[in-house]
Amino acid sequence: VSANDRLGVRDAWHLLRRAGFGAHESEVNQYAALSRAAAVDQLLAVPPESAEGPGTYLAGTKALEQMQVWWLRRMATPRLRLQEKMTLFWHDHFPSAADVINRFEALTEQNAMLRLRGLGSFRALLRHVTRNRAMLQYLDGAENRVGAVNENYARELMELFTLGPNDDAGAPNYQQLDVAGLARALTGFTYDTGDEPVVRMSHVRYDAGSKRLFAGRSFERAGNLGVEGFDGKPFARDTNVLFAMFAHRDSLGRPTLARFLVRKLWRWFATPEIDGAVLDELAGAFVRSNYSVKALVRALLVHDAFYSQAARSSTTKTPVDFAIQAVLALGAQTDWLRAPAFLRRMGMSLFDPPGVEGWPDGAAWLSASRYLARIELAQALASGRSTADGFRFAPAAPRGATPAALVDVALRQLGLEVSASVRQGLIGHVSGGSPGTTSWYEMKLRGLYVLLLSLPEYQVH
Amino acid sequence: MSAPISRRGFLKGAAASAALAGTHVLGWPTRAEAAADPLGPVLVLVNLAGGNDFLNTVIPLDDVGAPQRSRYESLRPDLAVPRSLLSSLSVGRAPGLGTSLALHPSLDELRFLYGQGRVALVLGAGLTGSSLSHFEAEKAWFFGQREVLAKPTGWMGRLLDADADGMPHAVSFGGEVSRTFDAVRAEALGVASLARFTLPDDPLFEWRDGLQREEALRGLLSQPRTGIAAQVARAGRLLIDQAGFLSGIETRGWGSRLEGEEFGLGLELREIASILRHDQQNPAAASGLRCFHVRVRSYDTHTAQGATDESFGQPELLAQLSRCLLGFQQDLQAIGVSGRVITLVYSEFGRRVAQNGSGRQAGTDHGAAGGMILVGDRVVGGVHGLMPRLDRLDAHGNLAVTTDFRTVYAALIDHFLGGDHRSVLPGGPFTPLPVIR
Repeated sequence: VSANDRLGVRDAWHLLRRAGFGAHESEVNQYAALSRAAAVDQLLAVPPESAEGPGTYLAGTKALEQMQVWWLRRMATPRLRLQEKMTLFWHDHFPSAADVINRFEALTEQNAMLRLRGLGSFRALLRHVTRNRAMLQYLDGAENRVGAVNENYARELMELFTLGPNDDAGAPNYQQLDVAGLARALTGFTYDTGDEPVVRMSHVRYDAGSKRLFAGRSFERAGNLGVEGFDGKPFARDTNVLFAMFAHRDSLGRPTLARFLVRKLWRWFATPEIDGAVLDELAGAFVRSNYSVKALVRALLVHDAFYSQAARSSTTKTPVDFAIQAVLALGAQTDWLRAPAFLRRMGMSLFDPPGVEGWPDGAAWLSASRYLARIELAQALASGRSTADGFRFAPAAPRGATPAALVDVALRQLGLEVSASVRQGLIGHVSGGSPGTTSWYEMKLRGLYVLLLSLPEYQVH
Repeated sequence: MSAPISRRGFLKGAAASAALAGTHVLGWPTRAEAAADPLGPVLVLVNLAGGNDFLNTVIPLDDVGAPQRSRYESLRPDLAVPRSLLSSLSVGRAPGLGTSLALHPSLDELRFLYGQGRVALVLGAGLTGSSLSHFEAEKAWFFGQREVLAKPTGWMGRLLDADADGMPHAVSFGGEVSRTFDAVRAEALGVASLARFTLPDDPLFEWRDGLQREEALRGLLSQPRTGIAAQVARAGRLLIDQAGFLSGIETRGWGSRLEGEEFGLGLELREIASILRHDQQNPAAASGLRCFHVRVRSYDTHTAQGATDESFGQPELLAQLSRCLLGFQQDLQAIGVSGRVITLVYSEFGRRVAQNGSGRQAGTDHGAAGGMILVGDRVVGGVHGLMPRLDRLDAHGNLAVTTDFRTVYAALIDHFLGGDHRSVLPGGPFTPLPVIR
């Protein structure tokens, strides 16, 4: 298989689920006719945009739900799928949460920044995250000042955002002294608390003394380290601590930041673990592109390993993936207003991740209560006969179809592959009992969709 | 209603586990045995996530043995709790040094339990050389070991694994399952709240036989699978078997001291008390649940930690903790189970001794040694472990670890839960800290 071959239906489902939030069967078929390269380029063709937030802000829970609905609608817009999937990745990677941020404008402003820059240069993105009002509040950067150093952002910048605590050989990538030194170099940022997001450097807050970072290593930095001057201009490479993250090499001499981000993006788009050779290859490409996220994502999405059998059904869908994939595949209609409550019970409130580590993924998405919430959504969706209930959905039932044909139509509609025994169980459900009225038949059919969306096979992709 | 259906599933499971009875190696009963003997030990783990500032939880009052109080005041000009507020909350002297100690004023109810000899305060708890990262430090506490392997298991997971019978013996509140319960075989239920823990009812699907869809789902979940779909199917079967049963337990209206608590720690402790009450009153249909985990966030007080004002920061959190621990303990006594329940309060680390800002915004960065709190009738009340010295901080200004927290785990395993810590905690053997009577 080469990047020029046609995708085919299976690979098209895989790509649209991972690089977006799923699709309707008709769109899957359109993508199936494209080559891998053409399909990925089409996904990447959306120009970067700074979409404004939902607009009017109310107080408390209502405002949060309003923001969530606004974002869900964008995610469910086919054209925007990869842009929004990347924005969600960065929201999970560089989180700020509504339970800490008291001005929700700061959260939507951060969201817009992540969207605008999410497929651009990671160097630029890191700088804008560092001087972002919501992040300055979430990780106390605005409280970090000369003589009163606050280590919160510095530690997470290295541990969670750029390097990771240890390299592949188990050697620590930094010491506590580096956290303390980096924290001093990050002093000085402050923001004005008006509606306009003005972030600036303050003379009285910045620690202009000499600092040292990564002492004794080839990429050591020392001197008056910082991020930007009082005029807003970035520090030069040799004194800029953000550049120091890019210069970091692990104990085996490899680019630490590139490997860290490739691993994380691979986990997000492809599989929980990455093959060593693929990691080397993609990290090399990321460095050569001067840390272009778009170049990395493109290389990842056309990679053979992304389409391998091992990558299929290898990871648990996030609640957002689960919900939007189901709505799009079924062609259900919804205004999304009821979705935030379901998503909260499934464990994923947008704009309100549980902590600085983002959302725990994998099996954590399917604790008993969270799985139950998925079954609740499956039921609300499949039973939906009016948008007033949240969802409207009309199951397609070919006239005179046998139970087996009904099951096969539904499986194809969801792009779902199941074992022969599971398929037989579904057929048994549809054919069980004695046929009654039309409404009995419809209930049976809707019940089939509840079962399909509740299947273990539909919780993974 | 789906409750009766799930109940049937539960009884089916109980019959299956009865067939396996006798295969366990530790003292933990299978569910069927728990039904026969509902009086087994129960451990409640309360995790203060983010790093609770233990130095403002158990506070030095004087300089006996070392300049503890004077260092405390000079390093924390805005965070030191005034001595005048502490005198009535004294808990005696620190072992070794002899420094007088007091509980934070927001821990009034805990002080009451302490006075009854039902509270053990463990000073200087941690792991020497442990990381200042939340995530690395948490792993040590969850996994109960220093080296984290490729597929780590939790210390409770390993304990439960020894008796795994396909039925859950642990509940983790808050949505996701605590990694304390990571296991090879043993199941733990992740529950947001018992109140909603039931399959949805919808009249649309109550056709002919209301059982049909649930039975169909159960059948589909039982089909052979591989990979992560197999794990998901296992989680699904567990859910269907347990949901109706647990949601059928009365969680309000029975006179709980935590009746008014509607979210977080208070609600979760009330639901635990409700399960234990159910088991006590219905021994033939006991839940078999032996361990519960509750996680309280927001202890990562880098900014605005607060000293005594209960409207924000750590005092607000401590006030909630204290109120809930007392209410829970009173519930346990009223139910008649307080003799077999211990609550362990823990946090991934303590905090930096020196405050990092000033005024109301003052906070503390990540520290090393913290502390643990045990509550229960079986607890040896008093202060345990050596007080870390404030005049001998480590290179980063942190309190040195004096008590390996695994000595507390070992005590719980060997002297309360009925096992052998050597098969659960690598890196030992440990000398159990004498916190259990």
